[in-house]
Amino acid sequence: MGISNIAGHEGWIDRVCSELGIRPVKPLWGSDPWQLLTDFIKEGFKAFVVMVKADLLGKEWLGRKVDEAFMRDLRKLEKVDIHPSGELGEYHTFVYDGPLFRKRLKTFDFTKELREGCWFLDIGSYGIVEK
Amino acid sequence: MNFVSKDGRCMSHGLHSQLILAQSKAIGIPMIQREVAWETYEQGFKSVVRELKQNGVEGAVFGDL
Repeated sequence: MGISNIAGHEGWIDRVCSELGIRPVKPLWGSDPWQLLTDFIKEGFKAFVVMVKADLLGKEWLGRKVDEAFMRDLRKLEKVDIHPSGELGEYHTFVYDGPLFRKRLKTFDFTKELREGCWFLDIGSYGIVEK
Repeated sequence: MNFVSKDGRCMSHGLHSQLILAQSKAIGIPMIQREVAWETYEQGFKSVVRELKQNGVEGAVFGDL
């Protein structure tokens, strides 16, 4: 699961898992977010932006691939207090390929929609294809 | 586990639930999708985990930083 670390969410996971009697495993907890983003790209994961908070990032960010240029531009914006991996819901991405993937996804027919202060990239159609 | 809202979209990302299902198929890891509202999120989460526990699941991996 990749739920954003919204305020208090860490406590939520521990509480709920304890109530259910299961062990929470958080391999990324405490990692440096810039390093994680670098590793994500280096390992060959492919993702693009599907949602941004409209007051922090403009709709031009929708559809952008998560690559070195994306990291560079995000760093420039650090002054407006954006967490590099979007942990506070500043942006969300969709991963369509990577080392874990047996096949990859192809996506088409994008439209940008503003809902409740957030820009969303609507993916109209898609297919699973061989790598 | 993936929790979707009544309109068939992923709770946080706003993506269509069918697209998330396609993603899990492409990866090759089965996924359980359940419809919830923010108010029933915890209830829905717990009910899925209880079902999984009966099948021998002992832990859950979270991507929190």
